[in-house]
Amino acid sequence: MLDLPQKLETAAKALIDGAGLITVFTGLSADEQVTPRAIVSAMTGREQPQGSGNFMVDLTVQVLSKADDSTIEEHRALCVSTIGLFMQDDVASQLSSIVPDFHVFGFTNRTHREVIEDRAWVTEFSAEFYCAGLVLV
Amino acid sequence: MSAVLKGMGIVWSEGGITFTAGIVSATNLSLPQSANFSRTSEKTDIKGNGGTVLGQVFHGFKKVLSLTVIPYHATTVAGAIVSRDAHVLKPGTTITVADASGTLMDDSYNLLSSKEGRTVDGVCTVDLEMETSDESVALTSAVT
Repeated sequence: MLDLPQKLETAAKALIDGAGLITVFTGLSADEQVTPRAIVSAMTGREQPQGSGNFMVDLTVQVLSKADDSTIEEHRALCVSTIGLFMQDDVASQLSSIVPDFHVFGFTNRTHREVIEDRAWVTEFSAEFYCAGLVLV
Repeated sequence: MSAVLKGMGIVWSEGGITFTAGIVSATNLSLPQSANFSRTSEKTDIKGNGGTVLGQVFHGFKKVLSLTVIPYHATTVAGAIVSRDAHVLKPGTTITVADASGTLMDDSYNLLSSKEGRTVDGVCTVDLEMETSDESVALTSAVT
């Protein structure tokens, strides 16, 4: 299903929104961008196994804070409370329960990156989530 | 009428394999990395006069389980070392396996071999080779 990345984005956004700490945008949102902010994007995926309709979807969560408005310590604390949600051992079931007709089996290849870009602290988390577009119990 | 592929249920990951005896996962933690489970038997061909196979008798049914795990401890490296050593057992040890995703694998196995693997830039792994009877007769009693 070609809407699997959008479902994963929606679920990931809702997960972070639940913490109530940061404004969250999805990858191709036209909303005004504020700081600090989180951007959740899932643009690519690969069907696995072929012909199944299940996809390994790449998800990236980026948290950005202006270096002029916050310290790196404050930024990192914000990341712990937002990106850290994806380090919970039941994140797959949490994501599955947020969006209708959606199931996350699990995830793999978690990566983490922190840089400073244009006087902004940027921390990025990414992982591959194995998803299906239906409810599975 | 064409159908849209929405995905399907598959078994993801190793499914939650733990040890309850021989090794006890509750005290010696490990992360299962891979599991290969097979059901095997010996086979005897029954041949006719011309050498034609007329029938086959299957006997000696076994379950064979190969596991690779990463031993660990929740809070200490010393504890991980203890867990590692607890996984590298002598052949012949009875190990009871519980599979959270099914019952076929659940059984008490004879350990055939345990292999500890260390590399200069990786985590320590332990490979376990086990087998048990796939019949009503338990194989895990010592042969005397």
